[in-house]
Amino acid sequence: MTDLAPLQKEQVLRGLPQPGEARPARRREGFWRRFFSLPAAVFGLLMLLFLIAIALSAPLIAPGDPFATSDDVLLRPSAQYPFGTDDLGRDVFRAVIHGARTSLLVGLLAAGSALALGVLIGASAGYAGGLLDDALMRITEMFQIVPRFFLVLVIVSLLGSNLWLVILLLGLTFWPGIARLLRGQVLSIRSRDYVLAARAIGVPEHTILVRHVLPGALPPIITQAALLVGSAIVVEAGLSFLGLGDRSVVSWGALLNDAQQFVRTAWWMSVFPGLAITMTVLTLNLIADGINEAWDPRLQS
Amino acid sequence: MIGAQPHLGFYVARRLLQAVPLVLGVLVITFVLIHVAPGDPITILAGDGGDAAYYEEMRARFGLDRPLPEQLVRYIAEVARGNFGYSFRYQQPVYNVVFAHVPATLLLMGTALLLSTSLGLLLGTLAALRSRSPLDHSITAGTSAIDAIPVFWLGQLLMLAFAVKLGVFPIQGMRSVRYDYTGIRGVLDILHHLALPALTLALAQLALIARLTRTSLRQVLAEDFIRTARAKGLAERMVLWRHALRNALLPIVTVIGGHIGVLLTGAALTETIFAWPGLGRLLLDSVLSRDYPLIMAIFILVSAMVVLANLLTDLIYTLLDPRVRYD
Amino acid sequence: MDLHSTVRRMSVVILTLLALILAACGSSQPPAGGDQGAQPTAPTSPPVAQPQPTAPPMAGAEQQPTGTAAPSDPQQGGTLVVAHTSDPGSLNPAITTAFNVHFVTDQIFNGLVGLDDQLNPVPELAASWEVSEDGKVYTFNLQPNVTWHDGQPFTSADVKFSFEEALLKFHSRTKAGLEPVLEAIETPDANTVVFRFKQPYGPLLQRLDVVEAPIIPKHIYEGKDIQQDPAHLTPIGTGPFRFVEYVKGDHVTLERNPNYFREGLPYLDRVIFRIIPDANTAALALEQGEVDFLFSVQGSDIERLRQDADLTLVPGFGGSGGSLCQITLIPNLTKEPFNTLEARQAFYHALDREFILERVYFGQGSVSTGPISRQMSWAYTPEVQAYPYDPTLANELLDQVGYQRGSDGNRFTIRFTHASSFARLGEVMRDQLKEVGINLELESMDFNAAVDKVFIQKDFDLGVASYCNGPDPEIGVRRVYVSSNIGPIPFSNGASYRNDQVDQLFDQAATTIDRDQRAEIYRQIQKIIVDDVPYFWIVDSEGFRAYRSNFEGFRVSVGPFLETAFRRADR
Repeated sequence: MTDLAPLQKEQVLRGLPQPGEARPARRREGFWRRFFSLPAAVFGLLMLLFLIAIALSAPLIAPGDPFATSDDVLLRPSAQYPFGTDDLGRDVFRAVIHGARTSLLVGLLAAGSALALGVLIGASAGYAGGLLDDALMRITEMFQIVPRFFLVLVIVSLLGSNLWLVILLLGLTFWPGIARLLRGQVLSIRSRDYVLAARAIGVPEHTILVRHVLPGALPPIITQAALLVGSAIVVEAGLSFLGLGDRSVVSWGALLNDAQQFVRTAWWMSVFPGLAITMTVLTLNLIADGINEAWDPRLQS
Repeated sequence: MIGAQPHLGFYVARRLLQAVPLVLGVLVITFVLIHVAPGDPITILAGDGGDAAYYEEMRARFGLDRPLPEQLVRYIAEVARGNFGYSFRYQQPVYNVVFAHVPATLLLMGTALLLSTSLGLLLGTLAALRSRSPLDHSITAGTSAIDAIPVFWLGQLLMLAFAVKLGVFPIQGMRSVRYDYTGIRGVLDILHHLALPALTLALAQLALIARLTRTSLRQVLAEDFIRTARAKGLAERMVLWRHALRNALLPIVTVIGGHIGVLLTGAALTETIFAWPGLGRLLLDSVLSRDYPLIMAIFILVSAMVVLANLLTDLIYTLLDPRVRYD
Repeated sequence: MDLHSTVRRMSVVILTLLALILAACGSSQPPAGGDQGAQPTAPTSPPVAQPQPTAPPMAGAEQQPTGTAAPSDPQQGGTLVVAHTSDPGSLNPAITTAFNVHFVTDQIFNGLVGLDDQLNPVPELAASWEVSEDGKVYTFNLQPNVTWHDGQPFTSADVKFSFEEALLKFHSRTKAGLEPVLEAIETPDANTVVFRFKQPYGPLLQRLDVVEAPIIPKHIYEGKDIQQDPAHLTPIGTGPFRFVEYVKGDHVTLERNPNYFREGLPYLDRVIFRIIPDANTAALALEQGEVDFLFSVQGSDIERLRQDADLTLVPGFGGSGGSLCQITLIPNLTKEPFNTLEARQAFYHALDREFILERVYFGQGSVSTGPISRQMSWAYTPEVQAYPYDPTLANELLDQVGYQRGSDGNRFTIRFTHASSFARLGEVMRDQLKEVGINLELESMDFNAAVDKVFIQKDFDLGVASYCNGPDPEIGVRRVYVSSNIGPIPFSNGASYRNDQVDQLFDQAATTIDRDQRAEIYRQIQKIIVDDVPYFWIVDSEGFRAYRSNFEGFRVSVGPFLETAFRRADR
């Protein structure tokens, strides 16, 4: 067996519950009840739904082309322009609302693909064992030792910035944490009596995976995925900050980048997109904390 | 996991040996990636307005015209001999360039870690001890909010507040260039410049450490041996200090070990904003100018640092937590 | 030698006289320009009336400014901190055209010839020169008693060495320009250098300044690998400032060269180049007084800095790419739609360049009229076909050539491949082009990737570059339009423009010696090219410099801009 220490470390590091502990059944019951008893977590969940609603209905809330310029240049927030206008006379409110679509899309899709990839690789490694496990884990480690942001930065700067490329790259670099998590779960569970029993009576492996393995690992994985959504949004913003964002769509990062030059003269250009990013990431953090808290009954006082 | 503990030196040697293919893998991937992608450092190497033959000549001079596998093999051979090549942009050995930037980065990252660890431990402990109290909630909410601010925006806000509006800290750089401070004044001068970038980077890590401290401390406080200790009548402070915090140190160690990459990312952005002459910014610069040898060297250095930090973390683990063993 | 039969053309006597007269005129004239904040306070005013209202102020090329205003009397002393955007890396200017190197080294080294603020050649290391009647032989008489910063005497051998071992091998522009036409460099004695050409060559004097042809010391570099020798970290020059220290990524310090051959110069005791990569940080540092001089103010900061009473803003010409730059769109002429003239005309008419100048470039410069910047006043002509903003005409032209609107209102889609610094331009153009049914797709990349895509791979519809004219059209204009420069070369003829007549005229201009005759040829070239519209010239850029008002005397050009700078005594 390969070393477990890094796995535990990963778990501890994230402040996450460790999968495959003694009584998964007890932990699972009442999970949602505990989750919904946490005000911060509920608030986070509501905020997330609110943000998604805004993103979906952006053309209704702020109709018009977010790129349309006008002669109302650098106006302070007012009734007409609640968030003011930028140096090209564009409505910052409209841009922030439409930017929610891009930023959430990046966050959700990137985290989603990382999740899919991580589950696939983690489960394969855990089940297959032996050489494949070793090989996959080495690759995982390799991805973990390269600084992700720089890897994405290098590729984006070399290949040109495109939203889909950024999403793909984030997915491709964010999966190792999830893979290790799932592998650990598989390893700890696959020799349990009930799994052995299920296998003995001919339950197919993928059913075992879905019924017995995934549920046990789900909360920590969701926690991680939620954090990844936030990370992806921040990384996209970071790329935009360095001028490497995709300019064909409005994103909060791009708005923040435009605002750089005007921090002293037009605070509203940077404050609103900055707050939007902060709020979104905070929302996801709250959800992650909530899951974390609800998952581990020992944390209940 | 079961069995006699092998010799520590053997374990370290094995881990290091395992790391070699990892770093090599990083090297190969990075190398192929940056060479296959469009854009080469030819304008950096040769300038603009030249003729085609000259550009070809310069490509040949730096071996850029050879087939990629050949370039790769040559490069690996050179690296194996300890030669990281020659920086195109700096026109000097990569080694010199990289090491000129290491101290500034270590100072920044070290100070930031020190700040975030001490503050994070304090806040996390308070939150754990007063679990579910308003104090706990406000610490958790506050650190989460700070954590949610993108580091480059945070840096800018801090700069606007403390350097521009209040004028208490300088805006940029590592030392005053106008005056040649020496001795203690020189140190103070650097600390004065260090304050804002270090605070920015520290705040970016703060939430993580506070949250980890809180979580693990609460877990530990609920453990049997703590209850036993309490039952034995040990003073609360003693329990906390000797048992709980010691165990809670694990995640902190992990952050320091496992987060070098993340820390470096933050450092790169912070260094750019505050014009801090460090490694993160150097990497950014070298990427933008396609300085292949320099990019490669920094990637290798960082990967090696992460590997070493991981190893060190695992070793410290075994010291702090007897339950974790190496095999 | 046939030197005795040569005609003295630009003798140092005439030039000095001219400079004195102009300087005298200057001091009695009120400075040009109406804007308070941009008011030049340089010791001398523009010697020549400029066509545009924002004429760059002149810091005289002569040694002692003759300004009479008491506060402007230059005093020796003081430390100047200059913000520099990018780490220079190494400090040998003879092997590179990189701005981040030259910005620093051009204060340490000299060229044979200097360029005044009108880009006229003035004596520098060469005290005088003669040109043979056939234009094939240039003889330079070197300034006597010039020493290198290490005390060694400067001689003609240094000049020959600099050209043969460094400039003609590794300085891309000088190599490309001079190597094919130069026959030999001779040094009859220690104080004379002779350039012998295969054919008459007109623009030589324009390409001998410290930017294009810095002279480096033979005794330091001889026998060494000039590209990689560590000597370029401790540069030895002849220039106004000596090297003191270079802390990588942090700063470069220079100090006054007390033995500078121009007596009394420079004024400043110490110059520190502080490396600040982020432009916003640099502007804030200037406002807070952490730095004293900003070479290039970003547009968004102009208004704010102008209102700061402690700061002075002046327009300068030239930026990081050299002098007299033009923001130019590069259409791919080998593909639809830009292979048809009408489509190009329509596209040009569809762009509101006044709006672009105001909003994207914050009014820094003027709307371009053609391939030569109006700041190159001797060669420039405004009498060319004009393409004013006219969406109606653009629509008509596009209808005529058969680019009908589709159901979505679009006639066609164009991919705009650009470095991320042009993102603003792209967004504004996309908005404007919508009106004529052109869908602009933005492809923002980092600088090197964009250069690769447009110039090397030629995989683009529309690109963009800031092409710099340099001190002579032969240096920076020719390369963009002659068909021999269509190869995979950065900043070459990216559009793949071919016009035999233009090719011939450029050759003719290069081999003509008389400047008036050359100017006539360039005017002809401009008319033909503007008729063809193979590029879309957007803006003749004019960057702003900003500095703390307790300093003045900065040159407006690139190159040795600190030679005459000084600290005001009254502040």
